[in-house]
Amino acid sequence: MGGKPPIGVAIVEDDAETRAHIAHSVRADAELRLAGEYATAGDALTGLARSLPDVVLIDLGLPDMSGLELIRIVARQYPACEILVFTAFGDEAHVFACLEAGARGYLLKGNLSHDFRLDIRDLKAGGSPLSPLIARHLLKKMEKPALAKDDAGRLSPREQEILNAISRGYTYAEAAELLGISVATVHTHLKRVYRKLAVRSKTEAIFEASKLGLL
Amino acid sequence: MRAAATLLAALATSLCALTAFSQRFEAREGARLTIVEQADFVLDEGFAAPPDSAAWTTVKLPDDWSRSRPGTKGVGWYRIVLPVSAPRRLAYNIHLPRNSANHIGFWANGHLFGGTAGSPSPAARLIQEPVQNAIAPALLRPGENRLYLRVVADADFRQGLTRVTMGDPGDVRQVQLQRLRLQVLPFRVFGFVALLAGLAALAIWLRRRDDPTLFWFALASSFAGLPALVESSGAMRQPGAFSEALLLLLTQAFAPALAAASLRAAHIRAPVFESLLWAGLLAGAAAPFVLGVGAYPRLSGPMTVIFFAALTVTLVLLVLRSTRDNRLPAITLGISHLAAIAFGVHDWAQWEGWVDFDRAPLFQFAPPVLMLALGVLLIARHFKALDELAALNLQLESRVTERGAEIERTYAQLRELEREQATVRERQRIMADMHDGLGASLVGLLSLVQGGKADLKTVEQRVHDALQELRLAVDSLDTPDGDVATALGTVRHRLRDPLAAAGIEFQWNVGEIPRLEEFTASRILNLQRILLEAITNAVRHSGAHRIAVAANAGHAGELEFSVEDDGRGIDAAARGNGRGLMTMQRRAAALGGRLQVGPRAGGGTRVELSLRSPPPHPPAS
Repeated sequence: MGGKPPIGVAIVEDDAETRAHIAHSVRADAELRLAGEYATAGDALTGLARSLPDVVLIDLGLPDMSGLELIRIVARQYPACEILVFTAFGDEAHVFACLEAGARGYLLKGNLSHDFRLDIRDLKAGGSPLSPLIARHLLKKMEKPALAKDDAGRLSPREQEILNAISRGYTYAEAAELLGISVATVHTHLKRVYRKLAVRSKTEAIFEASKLGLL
Repeated sequence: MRAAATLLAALATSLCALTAFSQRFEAREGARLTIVEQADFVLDEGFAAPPDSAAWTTVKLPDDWSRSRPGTKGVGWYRIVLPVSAPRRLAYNIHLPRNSANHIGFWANGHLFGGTAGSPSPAARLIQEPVQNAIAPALLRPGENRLYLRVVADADFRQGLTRVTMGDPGDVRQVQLQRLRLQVLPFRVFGFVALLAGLAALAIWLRRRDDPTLFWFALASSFAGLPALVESSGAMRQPGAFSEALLLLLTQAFAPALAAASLRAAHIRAPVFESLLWAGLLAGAAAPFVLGVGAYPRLSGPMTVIFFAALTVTLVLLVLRSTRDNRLPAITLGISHLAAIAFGVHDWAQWEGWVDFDRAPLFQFAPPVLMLALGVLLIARHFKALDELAALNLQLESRVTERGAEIERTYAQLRELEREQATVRERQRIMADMHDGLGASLVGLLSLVQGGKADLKTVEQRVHDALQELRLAVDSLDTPDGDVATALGTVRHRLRDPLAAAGIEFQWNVGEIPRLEEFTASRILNLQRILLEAITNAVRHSGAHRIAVAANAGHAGELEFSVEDDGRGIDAAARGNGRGLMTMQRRAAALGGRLQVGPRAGGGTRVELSLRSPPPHPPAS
């Protein structure tokens, strides 16, 4: 691991204190590199082109643009860049919308003191921890195909098993042990779940658009 | 609709009556027909023409024996002189407008050349067909020829001989056909139509026996058709009391059935009159047994009189009825009865000799006219009922639509109300939650800070606790009702950071738990708080190295939760946390469960929560 270059992290957060706190933590970690810190979405969009981080942390409550919109743009322009969302509660409505927009996970505000760096490393490995509620909602939303006769975006049995274990509170490692697979395999499956979610939201968008006569 | 039908019926009746009364029989133009109105007559039972020396007297034709020789019953010979100018190549045809005797035989110059079918039975006399015979050319010679008609007749029945029409076959046949059309065809055609209509009506009535008018129409129509059936089938020509009684029943039952149908169709109740008619019919049928064979011919007169009287009485009742409301049926039937009575008067006049003996009897037209009126009324009534039904259906449909919309409105209101109530309940729950959880935490924290005893570490922990409370409350809004497994998973997820920070080995063992609908958001939150409290206690106070949490569902829907640690044990740990345990007990009781806190085998503490058959209506937390 020693030879690996540090992970570039950019922060988009309008609260100066929080931003400084996170920046400080990132700088203190040898495996992380602070690629940039931005107070607004506008700053971020111009800055990201230069800083090209591996991970960008986005706060949902930005002054100039909705965080969701920013996630969508970043996900489209920098597909290699992983997006994490700051949220106070990690509630389903917010997190799910972010995941559909292209985010790969979320960080709970107020827990910054000890674990978000772990989350960033997790994210690079395969995805940030899903909360049981989000896992349950993914299961529920994706158990049926997005459109009739379209199998795209439907969960495989193994993916369902993994999400089910997560929804019952097991960590990725515990879930891997429970199912007799490696943690890396769990990560691979979860990546696939995220991809399917994106495919689904795109399919649904196209379907909605054609229904509205836009296509 | 009904008025139009009545008008049509009246028109048809009038037309029928006019045709029948006019009785115009016209030979075609250029026809040379000889109508014999005078003949020589002698009574002679023999089978050969009486000699010229017999007591021939000159009589006028038609010769109605009831007038010319009352009381006579026997055989009479009529002699007609037939001059022929040159030898004939064609036959010479003879036509009698109606068969007015029991038997008529024809002789030409001493040779028998034809005769009517002998008709000893009254059944054969139901109608009087025209008669036609042809004299072969060979039988006639130029000069004077002698034509003899041997007539077997009964003066009591107005028998005798009509005028005799003679001429070329084609000319005579035309006259014969005209007579057939008036005297025979309507009787037979109507008879069979009436019989079929009657049977059809009976079949309809049998399906739904709720219309007495239809029933009596069916009977009357069938009875009206019976004489035609009897006449054409040749049945009941064998003499005998039984045969005569049956014949009388079959031919006379029409009168009472007609009266019953007409009165009902016109909404008239006359039970005594109807009973009298039926009694008369039965008495007539019994008469052949009492009076002996041969009573039928003598009875047919009185029976006709009874029929005639029945028509008259019915007409009077109809006229009386026609002055009241809903008079259309009475008027329609009145017209037809009037026509029938007119036909009867015609025949009676003929019987009395006031009307030409040769004319066709008209009373045979009474049943068709009467049944036509009744049929028109029934059909009109049927269509009226259909119209009413259609109108009712329309009305019903609009009422159903109206009611449907009403139900929909009520349903929408109910749902709106339900939604409102659910919102209010949820609001109350959140309020209670805030008060119980976050509120209590913040108040505790405030008093701690105000007391000045709190160090920064404690304050940070308390703030974390408060945030935890708030997050659990937010999660409880997201957790689907009944999803206990995910609720437990959420507790673990929320505890991930504190546990990682405390460096305690954590064993998580949550099995598959089916959806339990009775676990509403507030019950789930209660459950989460108990577990959170138990785990937090273990983390903070027990000094444990290892904590194990397990949750499993039993077969009967019971749930078992346990939190175990390998720390100092319950007594030491509980000392500083008596209130926390009490709160857990209270929450467990609210869930209807049993909470046990005790030592773990091998050291440490075991907290156990059992929920058995949760009550369907959870008490408010």
